[in-house]
Amino acid sequence: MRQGAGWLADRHRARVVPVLAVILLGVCGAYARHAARAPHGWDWCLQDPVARDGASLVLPLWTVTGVDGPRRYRISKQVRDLPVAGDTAGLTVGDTVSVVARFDGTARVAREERREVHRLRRWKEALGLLGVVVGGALAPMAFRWDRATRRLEERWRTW
Amino acid sequence: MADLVTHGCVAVLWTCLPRPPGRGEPRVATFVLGACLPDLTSRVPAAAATVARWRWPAIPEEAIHVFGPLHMPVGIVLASLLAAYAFGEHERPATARALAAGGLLHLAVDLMQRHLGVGYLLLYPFSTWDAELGWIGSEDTVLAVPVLLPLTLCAAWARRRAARRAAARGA
Repeated sequence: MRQGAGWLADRHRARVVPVLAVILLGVCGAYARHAARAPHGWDWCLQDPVARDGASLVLPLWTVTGVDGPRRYRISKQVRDLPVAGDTAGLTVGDTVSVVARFDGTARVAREERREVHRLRRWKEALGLLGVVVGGALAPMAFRWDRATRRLEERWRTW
Repeated sequence: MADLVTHGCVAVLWTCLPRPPGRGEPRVATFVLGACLPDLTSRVPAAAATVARWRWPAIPEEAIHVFGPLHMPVGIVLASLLAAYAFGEHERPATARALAAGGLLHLAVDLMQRHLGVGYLLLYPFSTWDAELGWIGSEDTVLAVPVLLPLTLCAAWARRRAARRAAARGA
């Protein structure tokens, strides 16, 4: 016997969907503001380089976009071409690195303290892309759009 | 985040596990979709916004981060409830549960990883405490795929055969 849909029923849709959407948008907006404007990060350090000299910088999964010599390289993610002072032996443009550094307010550079080079990152990204392609190809077998009811139907419900 | 192939395989394997009598059959497609949605809705648009911002610096940094909560428990649950409205009324509660459970399994797999400096915000917006178990490197799942993929295919084949036999016995 089918159970009722409770507060997910169609008769509550006009109230429930806007409430859920507003909560989700609010959480997403608050997080974006928190992540971009919190008192840390490269832009925050540059706003007052002298006062923020020595501040800790955590830069996970950034892309190497330039190698400028044996002791200097550039990385990009939220900021493009952030300068890092650190050993460049074995680093090449396109590598993905995670760096923990200290902000040098005089030289305006991130002085690397710890670094991890993610050698398998491209394989991981390729597997992610493969997952999207395979998932997209299998989607019509798993779901069907019913034009009459304008609802999705799950074709592959159980084994 | 682990890659989508790993998440998809883990989700399929989860649905193949024996279940206690009376628990009912798992919703396979919505559960697997739920396990893939956190990356599809947060990591993919964030990566696109990052590349776009390199080209057009006027794009605010917030555009990169705004999708982040869709990879957190609060966003997974809210998005699952909203997505369930695409399905028929009577399917909706079970669909929302399957999508959310798949998304939480996704987080559980990601939590096993270790990253330099940052973990996953599990309690946002109530707390910015971050956590991860650190059992495997963030790319180690790539090395698991050659084992995981055939294992998943075999488990799915065996589960399907068992289900057909059970249906034939019941008919």
